[in-house]
Amino acid sequence: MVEWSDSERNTIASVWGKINVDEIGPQTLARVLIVYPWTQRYFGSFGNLSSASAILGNPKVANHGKTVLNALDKAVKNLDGIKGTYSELSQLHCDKLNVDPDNFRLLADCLTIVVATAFGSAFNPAVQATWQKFLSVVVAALSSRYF
Amino acid sequence: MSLSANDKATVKALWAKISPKAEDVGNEALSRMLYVYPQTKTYFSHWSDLTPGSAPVRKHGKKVIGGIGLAVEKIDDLFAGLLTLSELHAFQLRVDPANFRILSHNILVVLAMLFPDDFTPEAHLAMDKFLARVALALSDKYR
Repeated sequence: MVEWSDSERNTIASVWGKINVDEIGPQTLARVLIVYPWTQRYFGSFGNLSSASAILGNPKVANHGKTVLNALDKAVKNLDGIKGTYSELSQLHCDKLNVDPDNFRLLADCLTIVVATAFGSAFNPAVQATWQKFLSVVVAALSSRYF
Repeated sequence: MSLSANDKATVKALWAKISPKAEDVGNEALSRMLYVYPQTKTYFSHWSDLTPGSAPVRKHGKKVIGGIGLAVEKIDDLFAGLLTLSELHAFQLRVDPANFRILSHNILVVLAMLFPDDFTPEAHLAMDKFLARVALALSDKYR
């Protein structure tokens, strides 16, 4: 079971509270598709992904970015039950979509970097540590159907 | 994943922008590596103070970022350019190469934090590829 200190709970709530999902979601997914182009394989129906500017301007990417980031809200509101919270999403990603679980880590890394651009020096080492711990729990929960 | 001419140009342009703050980048990246990934402290047990921003961390951050700067200069032949550093890391320091990925991630986070407008997705892609190549060059002499 993951243990969260009060300070960690506060940090996660505070960071999440300041994240604009409509901005950060699209930016994060766009970065994943640009920086790790093999991930585009999972989004064949999204239309034009042929260049960084095409990806950044693609409305399907933007919408899906918002969907993905909004799903983090469940974890923020249920820190003590993240694995259970994502049981169905894990089944979907693992059994149906067959997403390689390494991609969850790539998305988490891109999200951390986008949050860093938005927060600047407020994203200090302690905040980064807590935020990355949170995301690694989410990643583990999403990967849980593989093993 | 080799560096295209465009990647090299992007890395050099970004590096020119961040050079004035290179020491801060080194300090921040190393501080975060030690704090967020405590297993990395094993290589620095001889230091008096491993907390973010401490004197030994700042001093070593400067050295490390200097190494990255050297890599930028030698971007057209990283394996030859980083040969001595590879031997150092392989035979003397024996740093587990997994840690190169960890430090690279923290460098990217710090670049994003300090240069949000310059660290575009294209710059992110080029830097990620470049740092991966640097890690490969540094690991070259390991076995």
